[in-house]
Amino acid sequence: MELLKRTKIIVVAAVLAWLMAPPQIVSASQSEYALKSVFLYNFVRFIDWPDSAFASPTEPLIIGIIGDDPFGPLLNEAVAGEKYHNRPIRIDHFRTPTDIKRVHLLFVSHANAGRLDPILAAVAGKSVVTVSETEDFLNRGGMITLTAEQNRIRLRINPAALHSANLAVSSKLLRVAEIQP
Amino acid sequence: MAVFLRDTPIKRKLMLVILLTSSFALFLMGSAVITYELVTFRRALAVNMGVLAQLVGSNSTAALAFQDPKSAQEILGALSAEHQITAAAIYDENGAIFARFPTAAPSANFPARPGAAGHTFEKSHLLMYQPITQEGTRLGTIYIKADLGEMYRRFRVYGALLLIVTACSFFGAIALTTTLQRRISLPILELAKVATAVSERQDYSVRGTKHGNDEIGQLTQAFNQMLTTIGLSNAALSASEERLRLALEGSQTGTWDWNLLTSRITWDDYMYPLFGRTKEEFDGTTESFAKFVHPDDRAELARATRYALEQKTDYDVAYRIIDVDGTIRHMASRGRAYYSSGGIAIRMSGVSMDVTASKQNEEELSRAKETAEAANKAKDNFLAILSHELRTPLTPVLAAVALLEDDQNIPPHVLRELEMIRRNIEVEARLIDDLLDVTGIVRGKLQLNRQVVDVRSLLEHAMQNYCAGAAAKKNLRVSMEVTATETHVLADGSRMTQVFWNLLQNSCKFTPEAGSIDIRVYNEFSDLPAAENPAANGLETSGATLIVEIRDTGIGISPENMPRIFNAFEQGERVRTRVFGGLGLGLAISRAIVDLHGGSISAESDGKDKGTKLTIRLQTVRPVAVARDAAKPPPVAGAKTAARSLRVLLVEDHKDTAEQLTRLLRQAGHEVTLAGCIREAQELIATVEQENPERRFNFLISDLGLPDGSGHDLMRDLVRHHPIPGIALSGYGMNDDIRDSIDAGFSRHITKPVDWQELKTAIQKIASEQA
Repeated sequence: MELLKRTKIIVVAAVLAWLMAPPQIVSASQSEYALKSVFLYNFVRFIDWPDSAFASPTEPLIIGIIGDDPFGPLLNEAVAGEKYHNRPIRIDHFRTPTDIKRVHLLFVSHANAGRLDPILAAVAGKSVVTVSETEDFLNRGGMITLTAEQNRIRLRINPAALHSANLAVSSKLLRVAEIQP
Repeated sequence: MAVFLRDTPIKRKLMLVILLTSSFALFLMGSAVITYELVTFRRALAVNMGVLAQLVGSNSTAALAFQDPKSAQEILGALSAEHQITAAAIYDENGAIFARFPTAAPSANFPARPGAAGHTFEKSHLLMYQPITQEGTRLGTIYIKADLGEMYRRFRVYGALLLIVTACSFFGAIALTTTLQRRISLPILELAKVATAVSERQDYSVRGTKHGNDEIGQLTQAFNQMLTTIGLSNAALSASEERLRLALEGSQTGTWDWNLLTSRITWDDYMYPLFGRTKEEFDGTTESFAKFVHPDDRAELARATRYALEQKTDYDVAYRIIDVDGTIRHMASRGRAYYSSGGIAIRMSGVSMDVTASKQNEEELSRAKETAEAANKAKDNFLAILSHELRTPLTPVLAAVALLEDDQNIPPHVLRELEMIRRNIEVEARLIDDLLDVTGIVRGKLQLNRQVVDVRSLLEHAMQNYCAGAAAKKNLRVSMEVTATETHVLADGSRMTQVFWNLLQNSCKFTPEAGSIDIRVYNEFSDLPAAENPAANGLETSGATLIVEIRDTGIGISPENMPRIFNAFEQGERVRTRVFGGLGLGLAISRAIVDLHGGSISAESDGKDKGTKLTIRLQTVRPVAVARDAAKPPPVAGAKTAARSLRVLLVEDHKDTAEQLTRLLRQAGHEVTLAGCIREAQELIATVEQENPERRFNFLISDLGLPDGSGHDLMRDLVRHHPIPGIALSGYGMNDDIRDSIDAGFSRHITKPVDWQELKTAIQKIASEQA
């Protein structure tokens, strides 16, 4: 726990440094993914999954990453020790859309731009929050996009998609995001 | 405060108390309300701000989580509705300012780092920090700064309100108490007014009005009762003072009070005029008082005062004072000292009065008495000298008659004439003796030579010598009946004889021809104890009274004259004096003599011409050893005794008397040498002593009133150098005179005119005693 906190402080410090420092000094990709990893975890806080999304009361909340993992250790660090309603948070990696089995939040990186439809199809009808870096994602039926814009992360949400997936999203989250109809 | 309130009127005091109390209560209550309001306000503010912070914090979790300061800024902007909030900020989880309100405010307006959670009240602001958490994770801190101006505004409003209420209630209370306090203060003020009236005007008739039955009502009632009591006692006191004042004024008396502890004398107003002094002159000290007293009386006054205090007796002094113009006045002071329980004199009080007038009366009286006494004495002396001078010429006449009667060659008709001459001279001598006796009685100089005598023989002797002849001449029947068994009395025999002689002579004198005189002598026995009998004189009394009654058939005494018959120079009716002669001294002398013997004499008469009964009562004694001499009557004229020849020195300056006596003495067989004065007599004695001692004088007969001194001096001289017996001859026959002669050394004192028989007998007796 202590260790985790220290890690988090380091991460936040890194984020701040990235936010405040001139962009050329800090490695763009690294600071970007550090933030995105935190955002990913934060979604867990502002979104409620239905009980039906879990097989058992003790089943962990699973954050899935399809394809290559751009976070490295960052995401693991961000969720380490955190819980969702007493459920541990686990990170699973899927190589292909067919690999996707049980997942609650699925991150779709730039690298998957070509296979967005199969991925979305793989989780369609399930209470899975889909998060992508691709601009077009929401139009394809995705729920949340995180795009780097200048020195900050731009957050866009399609609440209708979330709603149809039987997911309750906090108004607080909606307040800080751009709503995509 | 207490000092300040002490002299404030009770009205104001009451008001002040009420106002202060109510104001204090109001202030306390107001303060409590304000304090409560402020505390409540603060708490409510804190709660409000806490809620706001919670709300804002909760709303800004996403903004923090997704790094959206703009959104946070918007959320904070909502706080502008709450105008108390002057500043607010959201710090991220690293303590950096994430969003601020108002947006334009510089960072300097906010704390650089968030403080500890909770709220703090600063002077004019409330500062609040509250953590922002999401699902137990701390995302940041919210900071709110609220202005307390509202609170202070409210505080001011409350204060003003309190002031207004206090002021209103203050004035309301003034109005209320002004009316209400009258119920308490008015009766007290009225009572005070009454008390002032009483003390200022001494008017005890005023009364306080009772307003109710509370304590003040009771006080008023008690006060009124007190006034009644004081009024009554005051009236009694002034009545008593008035009486005392009138008494003191009327009697010219003053009262004084001397405090012995402080030595102060207090005078009342009457004392000053009494002493003729003003209040300035008397300062209340004893020294000041002593100055008023006559210098000669000061010591005596001080002594009398000391005596009264020491003996604890009443103080009663008389002294003189000198008043301011030098007049001497007599004062009398009486008083009494009062002592403490320890017996120490504390005070002395009493009265003083001016007794000058009575003192002067007393002095005048005493002067008048002295004058009267002196006049009386002069009269007595005159009588004494007169009788002496009257008697002196009778001595040689009597001596010459006696010589002639002894002469055998005198023819019988001449003898009768001689006898008549002798009798008349003897009567005259007796009258003069009576005069002398009366003056002696008046001067209290009659003294008795008391011995046990037999009254019976004295009576018989008197009858024979003084009554028988006269009675026979008037053909009076004289009888004597003696039934008494106790006839001895303690008496002067010659004086008793004189009494009987007087009474018998009176009876003879006042009883007409062929009348009778009856004498009865009897006893009355009483049970009186011997000790109570003053005449006993150590002798055994017989307990019997001897009564001598002399009853005649004479002219009697009228009832109106009865009370005066024993007075000197009174003799029944004046007109009779000429008929019966005499000076009327007999009864007065008799009564005086009987009185001196402790007996009594009384007269009874059935009226004019009905005769008189004279009664003498005397206490008898039992004769233990009756002196024969005393029982014997005085020498009887004509008794003849064998004479012994003596060498007589006769000292007499009256030539006729000297010649007659020389002749008589020589006839009696004595050698006589005559001297005319003391010096001559002493020369004769000295000459005989020198030239012919065996022929010295062995008898002295001396007149007392001699040209160069008294016969007493001569006798005293003789007693010292050539003691010889002597007989004094003197015109003065009082007891004092007789005693003086005996004291000087004479054996006898014979009163002139000299009864030759008496002198002859005396010479014989003394001579035989000497032999």
